[in-house]
This record gives sequence, structure tokens and C-alpha cells, in this order.
Amino acid sequence: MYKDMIEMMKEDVQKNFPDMKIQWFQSGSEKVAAKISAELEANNLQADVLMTSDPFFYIDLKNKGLLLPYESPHTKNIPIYLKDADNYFSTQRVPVVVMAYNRTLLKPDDAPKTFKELTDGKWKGKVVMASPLESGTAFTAVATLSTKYGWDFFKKLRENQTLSTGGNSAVRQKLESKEYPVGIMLLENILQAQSQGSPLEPIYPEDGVILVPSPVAIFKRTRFPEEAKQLIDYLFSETGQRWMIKANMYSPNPMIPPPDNAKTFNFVLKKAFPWNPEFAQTVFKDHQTIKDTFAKIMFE
Amino acid sequence: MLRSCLNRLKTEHWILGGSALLLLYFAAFPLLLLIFKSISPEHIQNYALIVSKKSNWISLLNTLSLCITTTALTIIIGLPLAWLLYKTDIPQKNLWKSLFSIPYIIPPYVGAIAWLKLLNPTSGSLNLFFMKYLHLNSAPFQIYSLGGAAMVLGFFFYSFIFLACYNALQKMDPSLEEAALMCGSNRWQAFKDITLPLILPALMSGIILVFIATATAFGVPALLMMPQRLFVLTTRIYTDVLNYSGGILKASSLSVILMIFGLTGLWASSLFLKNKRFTTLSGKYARGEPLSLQKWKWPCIIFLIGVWGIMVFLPLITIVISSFLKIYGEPLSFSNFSFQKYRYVLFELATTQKSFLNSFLFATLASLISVILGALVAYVKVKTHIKSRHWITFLATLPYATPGTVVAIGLIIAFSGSHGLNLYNTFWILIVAYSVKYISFAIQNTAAALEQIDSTLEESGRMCGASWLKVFATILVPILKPTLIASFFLIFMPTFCELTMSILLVGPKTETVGTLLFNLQSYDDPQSAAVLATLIICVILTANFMVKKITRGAYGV
Repeated sequence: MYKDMIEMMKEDVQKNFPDMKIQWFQSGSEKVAAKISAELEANNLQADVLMTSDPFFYIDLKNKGLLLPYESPHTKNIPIYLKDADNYFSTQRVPVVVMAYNRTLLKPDDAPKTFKELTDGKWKGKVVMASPLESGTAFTAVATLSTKYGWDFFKKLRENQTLSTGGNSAVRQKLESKEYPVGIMLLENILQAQSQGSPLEPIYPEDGVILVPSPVAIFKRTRFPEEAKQLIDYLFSETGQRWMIKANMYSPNPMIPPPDNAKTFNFVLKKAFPWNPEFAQTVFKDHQTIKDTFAKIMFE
Repeated sequence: MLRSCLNRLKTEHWILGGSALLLLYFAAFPLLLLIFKSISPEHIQNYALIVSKKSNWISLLNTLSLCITTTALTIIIGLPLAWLLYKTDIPQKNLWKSLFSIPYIIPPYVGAIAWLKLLNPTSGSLNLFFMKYLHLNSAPFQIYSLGGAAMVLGFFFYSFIFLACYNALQKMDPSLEEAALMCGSNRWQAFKDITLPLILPALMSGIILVFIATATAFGVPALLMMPQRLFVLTTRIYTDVLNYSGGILKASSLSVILMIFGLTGLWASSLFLKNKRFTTLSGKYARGEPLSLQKWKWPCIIFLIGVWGIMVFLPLITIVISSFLKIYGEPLSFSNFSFQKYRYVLFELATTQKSFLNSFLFATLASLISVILGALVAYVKVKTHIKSRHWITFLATLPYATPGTVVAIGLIIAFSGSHGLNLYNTFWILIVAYSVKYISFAIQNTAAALEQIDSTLEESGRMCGASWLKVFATILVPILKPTLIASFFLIFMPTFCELTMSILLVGPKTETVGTLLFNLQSYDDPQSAAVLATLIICVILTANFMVKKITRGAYGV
């Protein structure tokens, strides 16, 4: 979750629930996962509600019986494939992974149009992506692309000297500092950079946009299930969804407009690699193999 | 029977024994627990897996060469600097000392970001500069390499050697060197035969700190070596095994190997120093006549300016400039200049102020605890003959020789209530983490200083009828005062912006400067992170300046 968004939302949440005292812990999804794992190891889980951008982590938590099922009335507009069948969690916002280029280095017509194209010799040593070992969204991107194109795709990226490092902001930095002209990164980070005057431009790849349906869930251990449910209702309400739009992410609810300067959610969905619970389940099962295979190809 | 035994225990036994136990409980127990878990039947096969992988051996080799290169660089920079700034009549010594101590207080990964901006092969400003003016076809510097990482680490860690040697020179009796000179040896001989052996314990403890700090460093090798697919043990731990499905215990197996690595170095150095006990302080404390540089004065000054300019000023100014940029990759110009990020970090981000207060409080408490406990443990190590004393200091170094992430995980498992104490999500767990991680600084420093104090001082106190506590407080503490206060700052500075452990240990109310910096760098934008880094540098430099002003230059780095 983004710090500035939490800061903005916090006040509004407090206004809506004057009797609740909510403590926010904000960090990247991998750091949150590491913290929760350590807490579980120590049998001392602290959180009541969890909101990260790693959909597969929720399957893990559900399987371990750590979540409390709840179906918020505000989720009825959300497509069924973005919700857990047993209501243990539901997609609350949809970050999407696309491509970006630095317009001071490339003309719009010269920029790549598809992910597939990045294996072309033309882009040798010119592409940077986040590492799936460090970033949850990059992991989803790797899982999606390897499902569609197989591991050969990444072998070719490796031969093409594609750099895989850090998280999304590392990619942004490498593009802005002109070390690399093209990157694979989150649309929301491109839009945010643009609003700050950065010369980054998004490319909605023609062979697919990568969806990262990001859930919210309640932990079973919570001592305040009713309050937690109220918070979930708020997060799915129009007000709650507006904060996500403000942070440049799509709402899973088709009634809510897209972020400023972004294509519509329908446009994105038409281009998107398909997402469904079965795909999520498979990726979850193979997630260690996916990481290992990627590391073997890209890092050795 | 029991009563008579207890009666025979004197205050010093209670105090020394108690501090040793405290240290063992907080520093050694969490890690031993983790080791124990890693060798339990269901996890032991991880070791076989690790040993069988060639890539792990390569990262071990890389770790070794990174450590050796970095350490060599830090000695080459740190030792002559300490000598030049303490022993000669170079003007503005104190100013230079402060200027050269700056790297000690800045997290190396901030420096790595700056150096990346200066020296990356495609758009690094220094590389572009040299390519333009020397008409080169390709970038002269490759920052993405083992050498690049060693350079950046060396430019920061030389301060360990520098400060350790400077302190040791301060405590050295100058008449020894003067005697050698009077007997006809030249300056070099006097340095080689008298000064160097006398400051060797301090130099060695500095070397150990550098060696271990390099072996456990994560940020710099991650930023500068991973893009070239060069791995060291810490980055291997990170990429290979640390993930949410039971990765913690796998990671701990690899960490145990890293621990062994650090501890072997420690053991080797203790062998090396075994029969070298020096007594150079006999109560007197004098500076002696500084060496006149004469015609070498200006070359030395120019040399200092050049070295400081490249090592310290260049990366710092890069960060400061970044903090004012509207667009990160564009050069600083009127249209690309903005205070917007300052407004955001200072006024719009509610956590900035709180994190500064938190970090200040945590670092102060942790440094105080470490200095006091460290002094007592150092006393046990140097001045007593208790059989297990080496074990205690050995175990106290465990957390320092272990990557921060693993220490943090050990602490979470040990102090979350299932083993008695529950500190999780309180600020105490951060204080424990900082204290145990850096207490070896205090122990090493105080032990090195104690080595130089002749026991006759203590014995005379005891003979006059003073209790042990009184001797400790009125004879040892005053002599040790410079070391103790120096240790305080040595621990305060790195804990103030500590990152690796904090990131796992902070709770909703205990965000620190380090975690805020990391979050800004990873999830916001580099300019905001640069703003915070600039603020941190300003706050620390001001605090340091004020301490020096109030104590008339006696303390602070």
C-alpha cells in the first residue's frame, strides 16, 4: 500500500468511525508477508485486517485457516472471478503491470508494442524489470508471462541482457535516470511519476496487460470482527474505492471510473491476460518453482 | 551451605555475572534458538541442500573477496588518515576529523544510490563527464562490479578504522615514540616499531568490524552486484530462500554459515592478538608534540581536500541535489528545481516528525545500554580470569556477525511471549535489537582501552581499601570516559538510521527514520528519499556539532 494514500485515507476513516482506534502498519507486500510469517512462527499474529498486493499470499492464509469469511454488501458488482468462492477475501483494487518508456530517449512510434517484442535483439540491454523475489507485483507478472509464453521467453530476455532488480520504484528510477529506456512496471507508478512531471509514458501491451487483483481480508484471530467488517464495508464503498483511484489503481467495481489519465478498466480487461481462481491456485501451488526457475534463468 | 556460598559472592560478582547473563539472554539466546531450530530433524536437510549447490560456494567466494578488498581499502584510507590528523600539525585538525567521520553516520546504501547516479555505465554523470572530456567511447568506470561495491563500502567503512586508530593514538603515551626518536630511529621506524604495534589491538578490532560489516552488508551488494548476477551470501539468502513459505528456517541455515564465517575471523584475530598485551597508559594522558609537516603541509592539505571531495562530498552533494529535482534524470536547472518534495516530506507526511523522535529515543537508549553493559563485559574479558569469559564475548559478537534480517527473526521468535518475555510490537524489541547488534562495538572498544590500562592502577585503589565498585567508578570509568563516550556515538550513529532489522521489528507506532527512508526509496520516489536523507544528514551533523560545541570539542565524532 502506498504511504501517501494511507495518510490521506486515514483521516477520512477516523471521521467515519470516531469510536474506532485504527493502527496502520504500512509497507511493501513482501515485507508485510515476511512480518506476518515471523509473527506466525512466534504464534503472535497482530493484525486484524490485511490489505496487500499479493493475491497468492491470501490463498496461503486461507489454506492455513487464518482468515475470517465475510461478504461485504458492496462487493456484489465485482466480477465473480475476482472474489474468493468462500468469501475469505475479495479483490479490493486492481493494480496492472504494463510497460513504460522514457520519452526523452524514445519516440512513441519506436517504443515496443508487446511484451513478446522485448526478446527482439533491438532491445538488447535496454529493458529493466523488477525482481519477482523482491516485489509481489513482479512475481505476478512473471507468473503470468511464463504461463503464456513459457520459460523460453525469459531465457531470451536473459540473452537480451534484460535487467531484473529491486521493486517497481527501482525500475522507475532506472528509466528516469536514463540508464534504461524501457521497463516493465506498474501503471500506477507511471501515472504517479507523470503527475510529478516525469517523462515516463505507459504502453498498454497489445499481447496483454497483467492484472494483479489485490485483496483485503480479515484475520480470524481478530477480537473486533464487527469493527473489522465495518472497515471492509468502507473499503469497498464508493468513498473507499475513490482512494484507490486516487492512488492510480483500478477499482474491481465496473461502476467506478478509472484513475485520471488512464484507459478505462474495460479497455484494460479486453487486453488483459485472463485471471481466474484456478490460475491463482496453480500459481500459488507452483510459486516456489516459479521463483526458483526465474532465479536460475535470470540470476545464474 | 547455600547461604555461605551466597555470602562469598561480592557485589562485583553480582554485577559482572548479571551483565553477562543479560547479554546471553538477549544476544545469544534468540540466535541459538534459531540455530537449534535449523538443525532440528525436519530442517537439517537444508544444510545438505545448501552445500550441494555450486552457486552457494560461488557466493561464499564472492563474500570473501568483497571482504578482503573492502578491508584492504579501508586500511589504506583509514590508517594514514588517523595518523595524519592526530600526529601532525596539519591545520584545522578537528574540522577534518569531523569531515572525515561523516561517512560513519550515513547508511552506506544511501551512498550506493548516489554512486549509482554518478558512475552507472550508461548515464552516470561522472562517466559521461570523462567520456566527453577524454574522448572515450565507453564508460571508464563500471560501478556494477565487485570492485564497485568494495569501493562504495570502503568509502564508508574506512571510518571504522579511522576512528579506532584515532582513539588508540589518543590514548597512546607519546613519550614512547619520542624515546625511540631520541634513540636515533627515524619517523618511519618509530611508526613501524612503536606506534603500529601499540595501536594494533585497536586496528585489529577495526578490521574485524569492517570485515564483518562487509560480510553482512546487504544494500550495497544488492544494488551494485546483483545487476551483474554477482551474489554474496547475504543477497543469496535474500533471493534464494527468503519467502513466505517456511523460508525463515531455510534462510537461517545459510545464516548459520555466515555466522560461522564471521566468527572464524574473530577467532583468528584473537589468536593473532593472544600473546600481545600492551600496557601503554600508566595514568598519564598527554598529546605530545605534533610532527611538523613543513614543506609537506600544502601537499597534505590538497591531498585531504581531494580525498574528502571524492569520497564524501561528491556522493553527499549528489543526494542533496537529487532532493531538489523535479524530474530525477534531468540535470539541476531553474525549471527542474523545486521545494515540492520538501513540503511533502516535512509537512504532508505525518510520520516524518514521529520517526525522528522515535529514532532519537531508541538510538539513545540502545547506545546507553550497550555502553554500560559492554564496559562490564569488556572488564570480564580483559581483567578477570573466569574460564568462560571468551565464550561470553564470542557469543556477544554473534548478532553482529549475523545478517540483520536473521537477528530480527530470532528476536521475534524468542521474545513474542512463547518463551516468557513478550516484547513484540513494543519499542523495547527495537532497543534490544539495536543493543545486541552493536554491543560488540562497545565491548571491542572498551576491551582495547582496558588492555592498555595497567592493573597496578586498580590494585592501588583496592589496596587503599576502596570497594570494587568504587575502583570501577572512580578509577576505571574516568580513564575510560573518552572511550565510553566515543562508543556511545559509535553505536548511536548507525542505530539512528538502522534499517535491516527495523523493517521487520517496527510496529504501527514505532516507525523509525531508517524504515521511513527505505519506504520512501522503495515505494515513493528517489527525490523524497533524497529529501529525508538530506534531513537525516543535517540533523546528525547539527547534533554532532552541538555536542562538540557544548563539550568544547571533547566529544562527538
